[in-house]
Amino acid sequence: MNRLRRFFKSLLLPELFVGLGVTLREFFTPKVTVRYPEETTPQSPRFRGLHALRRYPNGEERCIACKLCEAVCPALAITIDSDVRADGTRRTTRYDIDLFKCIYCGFCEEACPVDSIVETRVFAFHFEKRGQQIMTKEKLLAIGDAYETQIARDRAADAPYR
Amino acid sequence: MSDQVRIEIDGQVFEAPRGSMVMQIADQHGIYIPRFCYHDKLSIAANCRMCLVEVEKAPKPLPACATPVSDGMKVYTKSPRALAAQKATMEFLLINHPLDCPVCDQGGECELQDLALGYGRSHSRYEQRKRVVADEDIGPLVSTDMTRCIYCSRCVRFTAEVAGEPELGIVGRGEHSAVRTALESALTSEVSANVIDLCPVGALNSKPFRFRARSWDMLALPGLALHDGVGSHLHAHTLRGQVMRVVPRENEEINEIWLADRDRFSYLGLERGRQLVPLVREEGELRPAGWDEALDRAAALLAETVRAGGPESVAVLASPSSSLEEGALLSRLADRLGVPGLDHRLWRDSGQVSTFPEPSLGQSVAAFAEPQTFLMVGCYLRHEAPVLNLRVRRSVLGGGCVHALNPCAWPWNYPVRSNPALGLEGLRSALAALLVTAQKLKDGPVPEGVEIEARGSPLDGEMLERMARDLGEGPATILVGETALSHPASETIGTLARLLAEATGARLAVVAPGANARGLHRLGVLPGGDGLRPFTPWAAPVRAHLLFGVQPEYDLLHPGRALAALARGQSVHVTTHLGPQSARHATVVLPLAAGFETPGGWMNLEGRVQDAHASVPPPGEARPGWKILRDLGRLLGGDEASFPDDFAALLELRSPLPPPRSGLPSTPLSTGSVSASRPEGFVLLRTRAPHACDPLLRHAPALQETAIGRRGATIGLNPEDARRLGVSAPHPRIEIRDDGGRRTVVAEVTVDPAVPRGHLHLPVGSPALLEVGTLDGQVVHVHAVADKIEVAAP
Repeated sequence: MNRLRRFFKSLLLPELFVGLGVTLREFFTPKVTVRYPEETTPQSPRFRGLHALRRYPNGEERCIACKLCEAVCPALAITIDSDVRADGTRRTTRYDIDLFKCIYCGFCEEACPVDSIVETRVFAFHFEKRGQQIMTKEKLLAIGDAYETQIARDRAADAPYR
Repeated sequence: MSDQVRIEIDGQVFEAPRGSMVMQIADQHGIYIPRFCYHDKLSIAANCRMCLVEVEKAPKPLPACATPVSDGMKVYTKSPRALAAQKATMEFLLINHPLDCPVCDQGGECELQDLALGYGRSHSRYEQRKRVVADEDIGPLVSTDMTRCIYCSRCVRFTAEVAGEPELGIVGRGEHSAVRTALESALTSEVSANVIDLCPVGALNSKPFRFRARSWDMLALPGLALHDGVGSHLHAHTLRGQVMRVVPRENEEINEIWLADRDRFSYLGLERGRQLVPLVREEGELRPAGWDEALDRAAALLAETVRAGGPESVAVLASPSSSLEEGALLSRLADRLGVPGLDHRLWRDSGQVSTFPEPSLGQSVAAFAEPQTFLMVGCYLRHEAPVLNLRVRRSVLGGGCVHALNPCAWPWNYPVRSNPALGLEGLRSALAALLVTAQKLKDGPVPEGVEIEARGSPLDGEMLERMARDLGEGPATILVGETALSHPASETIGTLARLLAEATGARLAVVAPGANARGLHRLGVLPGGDGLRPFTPWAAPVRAHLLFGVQPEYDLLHPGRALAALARGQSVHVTTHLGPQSARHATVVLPLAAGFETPGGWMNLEGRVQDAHASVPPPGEARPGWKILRDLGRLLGGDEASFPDDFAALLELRSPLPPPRSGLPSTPLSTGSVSASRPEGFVLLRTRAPHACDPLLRHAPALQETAIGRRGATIGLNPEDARRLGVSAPHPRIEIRDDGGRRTVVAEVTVDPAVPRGHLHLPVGSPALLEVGTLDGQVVHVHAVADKIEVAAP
């Protein structure tokens, strides 16, 4: 009996129709594929993308060169030099993040006592020359200026959970 | 009643000497009690209350630091009651503390921060406004953020008890308390920056280091202080190959936990004005060159000069802070060339043979704190070896006494029994008179000639007798310092000091400048290898100089002669910083690694050989001295080629060190030539400026801005002379003309009562006084300069 069933199974290929049935079913179910870059997936307000340095509303940079981000960085991607600014405050003279080293863990953001270094939702970026992966203080502040509205909105959305 | 009591701390029973405090016993046995105001090296204040512990049968918690042990006492340091008291104290301390740890330099090494972690609440219950305390500028070394102060009073006690200059105090009460300087002035002490280490919070911090790095960033590399012969231990804190700051390294036998300001801030000179590339002179101009070319040129210059003019035509001068390896290689180099003219004693003035024994302290550094009599002969120990002077201060407070025989009545930071301003000639005659008195007291024979030397001594018999008596009774040390070593009649003074030590049974301590004077003396970095032949580096037949680590315009007491000689001949400068005059005359310049950049061994004045590694790499193309000297030796045909690039192989050069030399020349005393009449004009009294006595210090701007640094850039003038000359404030200047009247220079003056009448105190080493330093002769004529109108002296 078993031998007979096996004979017909191998002769008539019913598995083929089972597979085609799956294909037919999936053909009519809603699609999950996103057509990037025309479409994007939704992002959490906690998304950890490209870094930015923020300013206060009056235009003063937030960073006070406490170097906690440098200390906490597990990939040693951050390098900071600090000094006394002319007005006597503690400021960075250099704030470099090496994006090749960075693992986007978000510890720097967690460590920052003044919410200065943040990770934005920007994740699509590239470099064409060696050296461009070093984000300098100027570049980071420029990113912060460009995305400040969104950064501020994301921090506000996440605030109740902190 | 026995001297020991039994006490119980946290259930453990300990024997403790009666009279000691609970805190001390707990510390000895590793039981930690939190504290802020208590410090081992300071008196007990018990004003922070952090160390409250529970004592059985005591109605309230007691401060462990100020509770003497008693028999059968039971102490609980971690009972609920003790912990509650400590936590309450912490809450009080934090009420007015700003909690600005992210911008505070103390963050990461702060005692308050550490203890707040264990004893603080996570949230403050205090809702009122915190108080703010105005900051005060207390000088270029120490930054203030007085809002952070918790009134532990460690800094106040340090300045009063250890530094001996009570410059800080707490004014006001309760909410209005504030730590202030007495007269709204800067700290002036030579060890003032130690308050930075003592401050448990971020109220007092290092100003040059302000905001430059965080404590956790830096590597703490052990090193040595190379600006005096004490050999203080320190840690260089480095970040990415750069010294960011220097802190003391604890060593009970040498510097305890203190560090002189100049040792702490000399690192600032590492990055300023450095010579970065080798230079050679071509067609009258210095131009950058490669190492090979510059070394070839230097070796050829030395070899050719010797060939043409004989070995006497080359002089080799080394910094007294050169390492033992450098010293050993230098003396090999001199041997190879056959050059007898080799010396490290830059302070020597005369070409005569020195009559001083090998530099030493005659005892350990620690022994200086024991009660004894000190006689300072031409020695201002406060500036020459500040950390050693702290020991002398302890000795004085413990019953010792100090007499000073100095050309100036320097202000000491402890009471001295006598401190006359003797002037340059007076120093010699007073020392002779003291020897006569000492011999008369014990009915000993007065050596021939001493009586004649003693003529014209400015001291009265009573004072001399007291000095001699103090020296003869109990242990005593005669310290011979820089002014004696560099005195125009230093040979006589050396002989007199030795005779005096023999006559009174006192130890003789020769406190020579430099970090390695004793080691270099041992290694034979001396004229002829033994120092037993006269040597004048700046006179014929010398035609070429090899200067190792020396800035001739600043490091020499009489730069005028040196610069003239350099202008006439050729010179190789192996230097960290090239001075402006040297740049004019140098034939070859080789960039040298400075103190923190050179590995090596140094022998301090007590005879202790201490090794240090390089903390940071030298900048630019600079190389450590041992490599430069090794290559020079190799080019001159030596067997240094066999030395690998490995520093360790060089250690055999200096081990074992030769034994101390014996047999010193004794200069016949008194030729009867001591003239009673004083010459017309002012006597120039040269000493090395304490904050500008080597190239590194000279290029540390913060040190130059201190009170000591500013004083070192001006001429000292007696108030009476100033009045007579009509020198007036606020920026009094004088015009100085040398004896022949050939040259005239103008310099700023500090009116200083320590300077004797008829003398000008000239600190050597500051660029501001270079012109005055180059004046020839000992006697000068002076006019006041008022508002750029020259007024002739009456």
